[in-house]
Amino acid sequence: MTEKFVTAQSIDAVSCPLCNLLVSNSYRRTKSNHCPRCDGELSSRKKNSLNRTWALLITASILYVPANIYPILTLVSFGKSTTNTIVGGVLELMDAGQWTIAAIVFIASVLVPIFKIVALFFLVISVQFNFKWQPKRRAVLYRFTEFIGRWSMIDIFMISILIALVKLQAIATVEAGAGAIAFAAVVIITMFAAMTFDPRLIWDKLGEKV
Amino acid sequence: MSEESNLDVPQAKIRRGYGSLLSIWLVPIIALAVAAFLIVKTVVEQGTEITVIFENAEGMTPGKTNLKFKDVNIGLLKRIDILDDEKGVSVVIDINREADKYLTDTARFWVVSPSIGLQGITGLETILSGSFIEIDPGKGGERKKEFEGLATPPVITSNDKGTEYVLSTKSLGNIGRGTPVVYKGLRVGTVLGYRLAKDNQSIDVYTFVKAPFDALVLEGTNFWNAGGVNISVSTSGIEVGAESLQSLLTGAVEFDTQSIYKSTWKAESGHKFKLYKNLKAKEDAKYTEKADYVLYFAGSVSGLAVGAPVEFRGIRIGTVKEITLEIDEENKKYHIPVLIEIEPQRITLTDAGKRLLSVVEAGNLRKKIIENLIMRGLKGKLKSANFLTGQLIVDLVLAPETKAVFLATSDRYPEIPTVPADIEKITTSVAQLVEKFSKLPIEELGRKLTDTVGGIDKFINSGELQATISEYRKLAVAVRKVAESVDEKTLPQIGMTLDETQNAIKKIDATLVSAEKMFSSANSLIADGSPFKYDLTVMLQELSAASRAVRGLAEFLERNPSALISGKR
Repeated sequence: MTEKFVTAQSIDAVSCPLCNLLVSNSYRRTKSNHCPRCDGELSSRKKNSLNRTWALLITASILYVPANIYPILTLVSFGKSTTNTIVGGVLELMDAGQWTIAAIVFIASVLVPIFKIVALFFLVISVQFNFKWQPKRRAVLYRFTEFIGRWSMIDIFMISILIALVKLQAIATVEAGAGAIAFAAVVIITMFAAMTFDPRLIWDKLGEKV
Repeated sequence: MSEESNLDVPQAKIRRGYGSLLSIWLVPIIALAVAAFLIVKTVVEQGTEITVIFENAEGMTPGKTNLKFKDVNIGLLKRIDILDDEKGVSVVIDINREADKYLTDTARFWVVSPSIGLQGITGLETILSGSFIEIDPGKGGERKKEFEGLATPPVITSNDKGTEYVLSTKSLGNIGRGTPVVYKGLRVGTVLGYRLAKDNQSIDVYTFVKAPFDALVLEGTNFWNAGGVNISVSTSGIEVGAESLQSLLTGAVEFDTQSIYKSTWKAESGHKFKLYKNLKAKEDAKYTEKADYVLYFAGSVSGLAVGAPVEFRGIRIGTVKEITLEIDEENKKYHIPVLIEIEPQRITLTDAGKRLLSVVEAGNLRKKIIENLIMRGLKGKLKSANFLTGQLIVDLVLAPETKAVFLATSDRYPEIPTVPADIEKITTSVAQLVEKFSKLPIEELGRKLTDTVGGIDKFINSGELQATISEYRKLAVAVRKVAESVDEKTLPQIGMTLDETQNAIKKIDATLVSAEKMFSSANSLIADGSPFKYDLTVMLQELSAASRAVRGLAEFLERNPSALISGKR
């Protein structure tokens, strides 16, 4: 680390999480732990960031299992019910020759959640165990994780639309399966996990050693 | 920074941290609990896995085909494997926990798919939803996990109460799976299936009679095939019989109990009955005792068929069993041995006191009854039973006056002597009658008549008669003229007129002569006492008498066809 940056911490101050006002630590100690400008609670880093991220990541990992085992939707058509899991749906699309849609579903519903969980695990572990490896790249990874998070919701959106639209009773009905709930939970929880992770921690640990 | 934060911030963090730590770690714990619950639920609900072996996997899809009992889903097809010996497929089905109790060795499995069968269209709902596997749990028994699937849905399920019977028949006919069993036209059961009996000579038909009708099946009950159309050409004419329209298409098994067997026990399940070919066979089967006799007929037996009745004074007592031809090459003699089967039970025996004999007594006596009758002059003869179809029956008559001739070449069967049939006599007299008719000179008479009429016609239409008449008219005019003008006209005129008159008179004379000739010849033809007229009259009288006689005969025969054989009584 040849370059030297000025951070709030390095000048013994705290950036208000809400309005980004720099407040000195002495103010916090003597006066109040609340921002003098916006009265928000002051905190140098996101509270319990690592713990929360860990917890949410583990939750997401657990839920990822039923999300893939249980069917995400049941299509009842002419009295014949067809249930599909995520992977099953992808395979069926491939069988039907719908390669583009299969690819989209596969990327959005399988690759993205797995990538997110793995990436976040990597980030959390790297911070927990003070990895020194490529902080900038890890920052890129974090930004990318946050960015793609929302896209794995397309499955859920699609199912929601289908359920709302396809209500033809005997002819065709679509019902959400237990997998859909689990999957939605996985997506949302990983989004929360990404949010609770404080990327500044990547450099904090580096700074301590440097 | 580090000191201060070590002193102050960590304290605050630790104090506040426990709460938030707990709350945040609650999330994965809840998730774990939910996941665990789901897994446990899945495991618990998994129930039992069973294997059913089917001939093929038609209409089955793993993960989609359901197992149903009374149209309630109780399981799901999981996997289909082809058997190692390639003789079928084994289907793995996940059964719900609550349906576990149905898995006993009496349970039966079959595939429900749309089909049009004897009982109408079934499984229509599966057109949309696809086939499903149905289970009939049966009556319970040992627990089992491997089953053999039925190729076709069972005709009855364990819900149907009733009794099963086995019917033995020589020929299956139109009986098949699902053939209805009827009692007095009411459908009371179904044929479940059939199988070749162990002796390979008959067929066992498995039949189910629903409760409470199974109480009607007694040990003395008779079953017969009532299906289809029965067309039987017999000596009593053509008989066409059919039960309901359905039985016409699918056949039917009917049963009934004769009044004399009404007191027998109710038949046990699996009781074996004989299935008669038709109602007639069942009627005939009342007589179990049978005695064979042989009759030798000298003439033709054309019209006599196997199965024709043997009658004694119009009462059927037996059946013709076999007809063969025997040629004695040495003596150049032709015989037709006709084997008949007499059912002595058709004869009721009484003793001198008109008392009905007991069963045993009658049984003993019956054995000798025919022999006794033969001694008393019993003879067999052929009799036409139906004038139209020309069929013959064997009539047994008592003719002690005719000498009994025994022709049997073997003593395999006792012989009943024969007498020539009445039919031969009748044939002869009919032939004579026809001959008489043909002898009548009908043609000649006709020709003569035509000639006469032609002559008369010719005469009337000939110019001569016309000419004569017109000549007469002219003459009359001339005579008047003469009369009117006689006083004023001159004599020469009179002379001419006279000449003319004379000429005319001559002509008239000639005409009259020829007319007289004509009339007299016509007269001679038709005059009373003329040979022609006499001939004609006699012929017409004969003709009308003959036609009257023929008409009378025809009418009589129409009323009493038997008169052809037995004569006019």
